[in-house]
Formats: sequence, C-alpha cells, structure tokens
Amino acid sequence: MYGNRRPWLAALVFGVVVFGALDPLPMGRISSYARPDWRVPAYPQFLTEVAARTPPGATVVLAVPIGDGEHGYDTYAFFRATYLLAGRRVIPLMDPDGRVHPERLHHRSNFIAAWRTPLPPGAFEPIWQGHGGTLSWGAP
Amino acid sequence: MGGTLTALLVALTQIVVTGLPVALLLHRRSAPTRGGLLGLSFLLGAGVVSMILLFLSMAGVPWARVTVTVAVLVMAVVLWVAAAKFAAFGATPSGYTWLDLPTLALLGMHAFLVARQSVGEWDFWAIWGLKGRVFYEHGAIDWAFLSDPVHAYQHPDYPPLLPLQYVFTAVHGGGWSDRWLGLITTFFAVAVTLVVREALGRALPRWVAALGTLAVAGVAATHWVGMAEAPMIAFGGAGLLSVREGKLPLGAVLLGLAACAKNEGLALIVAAGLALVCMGRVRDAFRLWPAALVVAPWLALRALHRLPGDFLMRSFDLERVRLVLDTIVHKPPERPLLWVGLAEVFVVFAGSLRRESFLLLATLFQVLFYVGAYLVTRYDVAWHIVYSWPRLLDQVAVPLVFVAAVMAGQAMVRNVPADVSPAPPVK
Repeated sequence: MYGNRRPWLAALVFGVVVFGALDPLPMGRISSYARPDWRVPAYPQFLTEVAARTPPGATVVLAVPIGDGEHGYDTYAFFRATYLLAGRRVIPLMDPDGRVHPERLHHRSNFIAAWRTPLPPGAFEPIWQGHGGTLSWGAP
Repeated sequence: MGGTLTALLVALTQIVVTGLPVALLLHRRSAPTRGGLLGLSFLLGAGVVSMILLFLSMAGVPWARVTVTVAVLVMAVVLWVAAAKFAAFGATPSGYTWLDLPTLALLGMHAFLVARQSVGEWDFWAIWGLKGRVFYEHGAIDWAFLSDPVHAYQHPDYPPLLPLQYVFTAVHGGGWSDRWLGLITTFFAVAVTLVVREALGRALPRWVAALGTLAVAGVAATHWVGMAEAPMIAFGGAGLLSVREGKLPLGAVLLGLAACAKNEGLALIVAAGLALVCMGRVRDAFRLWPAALVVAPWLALRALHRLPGDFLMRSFDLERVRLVLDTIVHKPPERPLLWVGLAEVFVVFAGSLRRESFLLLATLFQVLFYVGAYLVTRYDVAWHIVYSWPRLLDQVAVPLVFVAAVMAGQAMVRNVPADVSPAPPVK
C-alpha cells in the first residue's frame, strides 16, 4: 500500500518515531515531578493529625503563612488541606489576595488549624499541638 | 497497605468482568484478539462502573461496599445475558512475538515507578484525587463542594470518570488510600496498548506491529500519574482507531467515555464527526450519536448544578491569536524526537496521507480546538499553554504514531497481511 517508498527510508523514519517515543526523560519524572510535600514535610503531617482529631462534617478554618505565588496559599497550602481533610469543610482564614477574615475564627462549631501562624488575640482553647502547628476550638 | 492493593485488584477484576460483555457486544462484527478484547474490557468496564456510581448518586443510594457491589453485580449479569444472546463469543490469538517483550518491559517499568510511592501530582491532589476523596467521604457526588467558589481551583466542570475509579477502589478497600491509585494510570496505558497492538497486527506483519506498539506504549505510559491524561489518551486513541476500522458503535462509545474523562473528549467527538464529514461520510458522522448519549448524563448534571467552566466569551482579538501561537511555538513538546520523526513520516509519505485521512483530520481538528480553547481561556494565556500544551500533545500522539507505524511499516515490508485499511464510506 505504501510500498512505493524505499524500505530503508521508511525504516529510518520509523526508527526515529520509535526512539523518539521512548524518550526516557518524561517517564523519569514519575519519581520526582511535583512533590511539594518535600519542601514542607511537616505540613502534611500536621494536616494528617488534624484529620485524626476532627470529625467528618466539621468546619476547619485554616491559617497558614505560606505566601502568594506559584506555591502559595491559594494553591498548595489550601488544596493540600482540602485533600487531607476531605469530609470536613475547610475554609481559609485569608483570601488569596491576603484579606483576613477574623470572623471565621469565632464560630462555635469551628476548629482552627494554624500552622506556623500565631493566632490573633483571643482565648482559643488548644486541642493539640505538633508538627509546627496548633489545632484549637474556634469559639473563645 | 497490602489491603489497598488488594482492593485495587478486586476493583480491576470487577471492571474487566463487567466490561467484557460490553466489548463482546460492541465488537461482535469483527474478530477481536484476546489482547484487544482485554484492553477494551477494561476501558468499557471503567465506563460502566463510573455510570453505576453516578446513577447511584443521582438516586440517593449511598456508596458503600454492599450497594456498589450489588449494583455492579446486577449490571454485570444483565450485560452477560445480553452478550450471550446477541454477541459472538470467542477471540482469535493475539499473535504476539518476542519483539513485544520490550513493550511489556516498558509497561512493567511504568508500573514499578508508579507503585514505588503514593500519587504525588499537584493535579491529583487539587483536582482528580481530591474529587475522588471528597466524593468518597460524602458517599455520593458532592455538589455543594463542586459549587463552592472557595474550591474553584478543582475545576468543578471537569468530568468525573477518573475520580469515580478512585471511589470504586476506595469503596472496596473500606477507606481512602492513595498509596496504589497511581496504578490506574498504568492500567489505562496497558489497555490502549493492547487495543493498538490488535489494530496494528491486522495492518502489519507481527514484528513491525510489535515495534509500532512499542512506540505507542511509550506515549500511553504517561508520567502524568493520577491525572486524567491516561484515560483521555486511552479512550480517545482507542475510539479513533475503532472509527477508522469502521467499528462505529464501539468507537462512538469510547469517544463518549473520553468526554466523561476530560473536557477535551467533547472536542474529540466533534473533531471525529467533522473528519467524517470532510471525507464525505456524513451518515457515519451521525452514527457517532452514542458518544453524545454516553456523556449526556454528566452534561445534564453539570448544567443543572451550573458548574462554571474554564472559558469566557471573548471577541476576536488578533493580538491574542499572535500571543497564543507565539507561546505554543516557543513551548517545545516533551518528546521532540518523536515529533521530528512524525513530521518526517508525513513528509516522506505526503502523497499517501489521504489513505489515513480520518485519523489525520480528526487529530488536526482536535489540535485546532486546543488552540481555540487558549483563545477563550479565563486564565493567563502563557501560563495555561506552558502547563497544558505538552499534555495535550500527548493526547493526540497515539493516533499519529499509529498512522506513522502503518505508513512506514507497510513500506518497509513486502508481504503486508490482508488489508484492514480504513473503513470505506457507507453507501
């Protein structure tokens, strides 16, 4: 069907396709690509402990200092918390633009998960501390 | 840890057993090979399982091991009864050769690399795995979560087929664990590789078919582990190949499942239809209607819950077109040698491209849809292209590698097997 081309030329271009498809670089990324947990290993450990100490259906206010930018609050810190605390409602203490919502700290049903962040003044009752963070009751 | 691997294998078995009768029904007019049938069984079974979970959610039946197992069992019995009545059982030998061993080794290496650790891709945590975990904890599709603007980063409009595979595994494991879920990416790669091997085996001598399959496996075994690239590559590639071979109902269902895996699958249905229309096969284009039927429930639910998408209505902006094209040109593909090789094949066989016009036109239209999507994206254009263009190219690479293998392979050898060339137009 395509035999009117020289077999050696067909073999050559076919070989380029096969070798090109077997480029080892992409598959090599499986082990190393996108592992932000490696940068802050204590953070997922903290969230795992928070998950063990909060019931399904609870609301958890998240206060973390990780700033803006590609690996910032609105991306890694928040969605990692949402993933590890699935089954609970996770709401950020501050919006991606940095606007703080202190009123979110003062709902009786809330937990506050603060990681490497001092909480605003108030008598927040700690439940547990570890891995650089504190889990507290929301209502002072 | 071992328990979650067991759960994954139980889920895999149920998926294949449920998908096999569907594969027999949709493949009944041709002679499938055992390998091809196995690949199709996984793909179609994954679709059936996701539909079952979706309908249980809509019916208000909580996902639990008992409810899900009973529903899958009932569906499997119904499908097997239908297959016994309407399908021809049996499959031909797969015709594998020792040259298929490198493909086996490559897929084994992929499984090994994936299985060494839990899934750790950003988009698994933020989109695909997140939805699976949230849905699993909720016991149903969590529409409140999807609709919550606080969680807009999880792309609420993305279809749920892959998260539902994760849910299916978690249901069997009795709890969520992402330790082994990456292997689902490998399963999709294996499935499409088996389907392609069957198609190449009909068009080429065994040793050339094996080498072509090796190239396809190199693309299908994606490093985007845990993300919907693997199912999109698998459903899209297998769907287009099925349409090429004239198996329109099978191809349409697979294309519909591609749309249940990624929004790009919706574009692929249209691209396939347009390709058929351009070839003068208008009736065949309309015969792709099962694709729309498969994805319709999700689209209806998405509209009902008003889940926002990634695109905005924009007026035509020539400067934006220039920016999109300029960024694409300066973003090299991940496997540059592969694309150089594909370009060489298409230049060398330029005079014969019409014979593979369906796959080439469908791929061309799909790439044009990608470019069009960048023109209306709500995100920063350069950012969007840089982070998605390599993945989108992977999505269309399987049919292109297939075409290259058929063209070059048939020119390399004199004794080409009985032709299973692209299906002729329906008169």
